Amino acid sequence: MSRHAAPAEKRDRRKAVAALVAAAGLAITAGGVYAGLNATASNATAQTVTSGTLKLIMANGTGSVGFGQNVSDLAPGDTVGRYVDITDTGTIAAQNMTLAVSDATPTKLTTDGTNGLHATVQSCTVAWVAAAGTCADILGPTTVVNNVPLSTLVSTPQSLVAGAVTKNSAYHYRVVLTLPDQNETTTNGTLPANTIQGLSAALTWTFNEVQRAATTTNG
Amino acid sequence: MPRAGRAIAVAGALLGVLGISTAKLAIAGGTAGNATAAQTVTSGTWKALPTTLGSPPYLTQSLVLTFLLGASPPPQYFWVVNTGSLTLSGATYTVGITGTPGASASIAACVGGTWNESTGACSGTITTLVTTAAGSAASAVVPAAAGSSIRLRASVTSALTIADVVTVGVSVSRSQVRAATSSNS
Repeated sequence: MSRHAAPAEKRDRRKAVAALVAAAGLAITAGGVYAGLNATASNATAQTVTSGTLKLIMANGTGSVGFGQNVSDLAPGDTVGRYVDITDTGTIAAQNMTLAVSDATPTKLTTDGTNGLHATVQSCTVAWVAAAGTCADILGPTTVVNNVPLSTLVSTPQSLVAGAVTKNSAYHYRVVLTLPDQNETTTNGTLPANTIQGLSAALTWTFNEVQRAATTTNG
Repeated sequence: MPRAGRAIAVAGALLGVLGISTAKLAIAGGTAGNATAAQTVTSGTWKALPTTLGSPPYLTQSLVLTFLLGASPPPQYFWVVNTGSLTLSGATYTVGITGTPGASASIAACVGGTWNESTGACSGTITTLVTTAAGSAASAVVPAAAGSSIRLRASVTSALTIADVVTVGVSVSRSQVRAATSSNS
């Protein structure tokens, strides 16, 4: 085969190169025209956009140790009341406050719906008198959670406030723990099988609220 | 497929995935506020046991006492210890005897005093808690406070023709524990 192209083939190559050069020139020219027509507009004053906050704060009720004090050696039938104030200090409107509990070391205390711990939550419009367990509201307290097993509270948060949560105003709650009355007999120092005695629960109480429905605005 | 085409297809797929993910976030999203607090809760125990030991560890079983044969075997003394965490108001005592036909045994406490175990004398009032005739009996004579103990006396009430074994047991039910309480703090 010859290493030199035929004259006709050479002409075709020259035409192709010329076409490429012409196309590049057109593209550069067109780009220059476009750049020359570009325009921008911006607001003179910067727009400020902030995200809101959703915050719940828990404090011990007046005169109460709150959940900070552990509960020891419950006997069947014992009830123990603790008082907490829950305040929404966020900027976003909130709704549907609930209470749930978890147990880091589950035992019969929090897994047995009959013989395990039960909780009752009462709300008072004013601060509770913790030592006496009384609500000074003339209408008395409102029971919002009535003797619910902790085994239920673990899986199903219970409603405390249905609808809008009031801002920056404490909800005064009394949380009463009860070990239901039940009978067990120990013999010669040996606890019965599947006993309720000598168990420990590491509880975490969680009050929760959710943001208001998202909105779409124009203006 | 050409390289450029494959790139576009991959990018489209990625965008599609991102689009779906974003939609899911938008549906499941929303802000929640939480306030949490930890608390430890324990249940108490109610239990007591008979033992000849003066300190733990104790055996959690019936106490077995052997009385040698004779016309008047000396009594034997033992402890009943509240090994639970709750205050007791009572307990049920059981006693049995095997050996000499017709022999009987009893368990007694020295209420309001102490035993002189050398002489068998009681500085208070001797109160019989249970006899083998009854088998078992509830009594308010108990080591009330958690960790406390009382000293009891086991004795046989007749001559023994052979060595006899007396077995003592203690049981505690919920009704023999302090009453339920209601507290606020």
